[in-house]
Formats: sequence, structure tokens, C-alpha cells
Amino acid sequence: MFVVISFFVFSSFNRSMEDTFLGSWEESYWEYKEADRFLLKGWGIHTKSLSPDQVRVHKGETWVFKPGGQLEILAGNITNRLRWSLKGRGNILEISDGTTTEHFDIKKLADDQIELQLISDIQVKEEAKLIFTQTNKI
Amino acid sequence: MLRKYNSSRSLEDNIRLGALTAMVAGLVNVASFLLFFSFSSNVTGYYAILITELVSGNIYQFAVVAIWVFAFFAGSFLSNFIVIFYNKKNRYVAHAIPIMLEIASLLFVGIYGSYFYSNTLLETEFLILLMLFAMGLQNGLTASISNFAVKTTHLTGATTDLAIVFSMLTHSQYRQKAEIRARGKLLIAIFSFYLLGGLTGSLAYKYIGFRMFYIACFILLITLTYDLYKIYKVQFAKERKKKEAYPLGGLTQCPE
Repeated sequence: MFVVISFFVFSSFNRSMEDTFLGSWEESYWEYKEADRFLLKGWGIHTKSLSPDQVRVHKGETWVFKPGGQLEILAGNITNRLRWSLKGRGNILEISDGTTTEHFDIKKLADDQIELQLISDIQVKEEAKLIFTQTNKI
Repeated sequence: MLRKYNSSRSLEDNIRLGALTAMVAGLVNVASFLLFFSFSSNVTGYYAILITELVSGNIYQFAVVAIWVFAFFAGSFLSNFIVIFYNKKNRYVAHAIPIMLEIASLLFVGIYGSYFYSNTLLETEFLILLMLFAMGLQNGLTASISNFAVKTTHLTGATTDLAIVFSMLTHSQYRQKAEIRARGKLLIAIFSFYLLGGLTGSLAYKYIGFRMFYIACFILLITLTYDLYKIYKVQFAKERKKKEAYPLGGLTQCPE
């Protein structure tokens, strides 16, 4: 009985969560900053910075979420092909090119807007916030 | 480890059970976090998330978290149900069934993850549910058979208990008490092995991914077979003693 209820809840709603992502999303706002809330910073202990192999910097890109976990990131004439999936209870977006894997906390998920917050290594106290608006629905 | 119940258990029984199951819990918790960004060996945080999601109006997430919490509850319920209903028939079997179900759940996660997992949210939610169910089974069993002395899937209560034990050890009156020192030893064993399990999980994740659950199953198998070996050893010794006492198979020789 419990398994049946779980299956019903999971399968009836999560498809729509994944479906909300499908389509083209244009980055309308981005913010990268070093967090100033690191407790030991004032004592001269410095945090690491985000290095290019840990995370990509996304600015002004278009993300195209396709069915089957395919993601295309368009930046000018360059197209990067990655994989995307939702983790946790659907609150985490994972994108990966096979080498670098990034996780974003989904702060807002609406039909026309997504707000993402980068989840970085706990030793890397920097923040990245991205807001996308939908340009084309698949 | 699994044969004895409540007050008949020795400190060594509890330490062995606590250490091995804590290692499994540490491994599974780290595994679920690295693979799915969700914890699976405790539900305290989920109660807070449950309310947050409800207040935020995220009904789907609220339902998912509620089901996960219920999975942990169901696991603990089932463990204790099996123990209280089958304890008198066969104590070892009653205590072993929850471990067998836990092995089956974790083995399923390992096999499914290795060969069939295609990164969908539905799969993720079901696999987390199974892990929470497995951890519920484990916690229900260890707590039930040890008279609540051994709880290995979460360390909030254990941290409080250890702090109390340590503070008692600062007083000479309590320092002499064997039961307080014994409690301290048990808690330190649980902490150490939980961390060891977590470390094993994070290292294994890098190299073998989902197959790390096989390690958890192997540890649980040791927990199961250790007592099986003991049972056979005791039975064998009894039979040998019986044979020595009655070399003709218990038949009395009739004088002619």
C-alpha cells in the first residue's frame, strides 16, 4: 500500500517538475561574489577561490534543456553539450560534462523563470546566483 | 551480536553490533549525499524541511519528504514488529530477518544504480526511499534488541549521551562506575565506526560509484554470519558433549 502511494505521488508530480525545465532558457541575471560571511576571514585565514576546473562561470548564456537529460549551453558561437538531472527531492540541479560536475540549489522554479544558486565546495566560500527566463518551451 | 536480547546482552555484544551497523550507516549516509544530494541515515533534518516546504507551498516536495520520513518509520516499525512476534520462536531468525531485508534493500540500490539508473528524479526519489527504509530497519532492530542502548544511524542523541558521559567522568564519584565507562566505550565505538563508514563511502564513491553499497551489504553479512557461526559452534559442542556422555546414542544397555 505504502509503495503504491509513494509510486503514485512520485510519478504523478515529478514528471511535471522535469518537464518545467524543458526548453530554452536565457540567462537574464548573474552574480558572482566572494561570500563575506566566512567566520575566520577576519583572522587572516583566506578561503580558496573558485578555479576553472571546479566550476564554469556562466554569463549571458542560453541553456537548452532537452528530454533524456541532454543540456546544450550556448555562448556566442560555442555550444557545450552536457547532461542534466534533478537530485534530492527535485531541489538540486546537477549538470555535468563528464569531467566537471556542478550542483545548483533551485531557489525558484516557475514556468517562465528559474533561479539557481551554485552549491560549491564547502571550503570555497563564494557565491554564484543565476536567473534564467524562458525563451522557448519544448 | 544478534542472538541475545535486552539484558542478556554483554557490552562486547553491543559494541560489535554498534560498530558494524554504525559503519554501514556512515557509508550509506555519505553515499546518498554524494549520489543524490540527500541524507538517508537520519530524519531530523527532514522534519524541518517538511515544514519549510509546506510553508513555501511546495506541496510535491512536502509529499516526497513526508513519504521519506514514513519510509524510515516503516522500517523501524517492521523491525520491531518482527522482533516481538518471532522472538520466542527463534531469536536469531527474528533478529536476522530485518538485517536480511536491509541487505536486500541496499543490494537493490547498488545493482539498480550500477546497471539501470538513468538519472531521473523518479528513480532518485525511490532509491532514497529504499535507503531510508533500510536505515529505519537497522535502527529499529539495534535499538529494539539492545534495550535502546545501541542506535547507530544518527549521532544527535549519541553526541548528547557522549557529552553527558564525559562530563560525568570529570567527577570522581562517577568515574569509578563501570556502567558509565562501558557506555562511553560503546558510544566511542559507534562514533569511530560511523566516521570510518563515511570515509569508506566517500573514497569508494570516487572509484566504484554505486557498487559501494556492496561493501555495506558485506558488512551486514558479517553481522549475520558471525552469530550463525557461534550458534553452530555451541550446537556442535552440545552434541559432542552428548555423544561423550552417551556413546551408544543414549540407549541403555540391558544386562543379560
